[in-house]
Amino acid sequence: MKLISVNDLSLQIEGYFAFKHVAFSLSQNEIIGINGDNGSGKTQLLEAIVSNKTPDSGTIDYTPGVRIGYLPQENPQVIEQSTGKYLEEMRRLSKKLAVRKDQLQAMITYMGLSPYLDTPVNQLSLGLKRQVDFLSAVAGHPNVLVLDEPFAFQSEKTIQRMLDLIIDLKNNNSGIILSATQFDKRIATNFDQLYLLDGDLKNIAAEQKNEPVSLLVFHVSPNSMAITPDVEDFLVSNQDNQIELEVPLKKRQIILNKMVQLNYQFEGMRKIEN
Amino acid sequence: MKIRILLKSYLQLYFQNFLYLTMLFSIIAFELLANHLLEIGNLKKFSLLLIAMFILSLFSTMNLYYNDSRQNKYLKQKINSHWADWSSQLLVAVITNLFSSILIFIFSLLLRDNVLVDFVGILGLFSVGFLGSGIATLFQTQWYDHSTVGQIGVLLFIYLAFSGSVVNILTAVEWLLPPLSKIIMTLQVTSSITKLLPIVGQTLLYAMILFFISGLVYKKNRKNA
Repeated sequence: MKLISVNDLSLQIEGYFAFKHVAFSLSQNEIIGINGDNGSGKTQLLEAIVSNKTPDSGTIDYTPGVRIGYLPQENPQVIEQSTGKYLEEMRRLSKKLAVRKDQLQAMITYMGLSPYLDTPVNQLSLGLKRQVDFLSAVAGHPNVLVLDEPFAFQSEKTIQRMLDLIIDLKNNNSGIILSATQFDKRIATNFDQLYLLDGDLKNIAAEQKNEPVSLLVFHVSPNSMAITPDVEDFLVSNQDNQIELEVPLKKRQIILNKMVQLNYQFEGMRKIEN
Repeated sequence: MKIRILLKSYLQLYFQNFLYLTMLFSIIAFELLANHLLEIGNLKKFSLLLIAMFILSLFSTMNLYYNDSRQNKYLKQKINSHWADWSSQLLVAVITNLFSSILIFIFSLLLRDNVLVDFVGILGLFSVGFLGSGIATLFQTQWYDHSTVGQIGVLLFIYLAFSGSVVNILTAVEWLLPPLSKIIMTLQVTSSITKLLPIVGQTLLYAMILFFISGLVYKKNRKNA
């Protein structure tokens, strides 16, 4: 069942398009990722979806009964309450529709926030505050969860825990929209749709499906340097001194040159059929 | 639940950057020194305190909405209730003005054995404070969508509040104007604070109407947003 339909949405800020002609829909049991450079309009789009911004044209249709949980990119609220009391208050805002008290406690424990239950939220580090904001968005058990840069300032372990909770929500009939400058490939594998916002919205997954890719295999030598983040996006395997990269054909030569510069020994290549 | 959360947040924002407390304690310091510094009678002193109370609540409430516009956007999205928001604003105005008026009256050295004088004194201070909060609430848009309209509105209402009973041309429509100057002028020709009671009632009613108008205006704006 569709939860939200975004139809031909455009927003201008001081004469410039933050985004234009954006169209997509979010259904139950679906996770959508939106990539886009800094300033590409991701936050503006999410703010429009959660009704904090009025678009210049286009419509957003919400299925009756939709309840949105939102993690903004930055929450300016100064919360002097303790973490435990604040989260419990946010849970109770959604009354009977919220997660149960014991479920919230379990989520707090799972996220590793138990030691901070008595600490005022405004005294927590930036990363911990993001986790509290994430839990406060989830605590109402929304059927649409909108997360703006949810993994900023988070360790790999925390990201995995957040992903587990997101997937659990998805499996309980919610739809989730996440945005980030660039999603790690391991994170993106959990998405049902992946879009790129660059003025308009392009479905990357669909483009990638049609794009031929090659598997490049390299041997790690003692003087190999660490892989740079732009190459890491294509990494599919790293074991027994052998690295495998899954690279679109049109980027093959660039990545190959880069790896040779980093002192990796090229062993071979094969084309992968989609 | 929603009102409780918002009320707590508003009270926190009210006290957050010490503007309110600094102004309040400056007024208390002034009233303690006024008898020594200025050779004025009790009624003149009370007139000055009424003006100070109006300015204190106007600026403090404007400061509240300034802080609110910068910090509470996402909290209000979660609460998602215009009337809970409006009720919280009203309650904050009542609580803070009651607190200020009691404190200011106690330190004014005007306390008498006559309970009625004390009651009308505190109620008078409360009413002008409530009026200041009402004006700031009506024009809170200066910190949100229409800053120019909000700022001009506040300036206009401050001018009308002080000049309503002083400028001849405005006397014909005096009942339409914020009755602050009317209280002050009445105090100049009366012998007791208790005579203020009818105008204090008018001031409270006026402030309440401002709150109701703001409730309706911002509900409409929210629908249009």
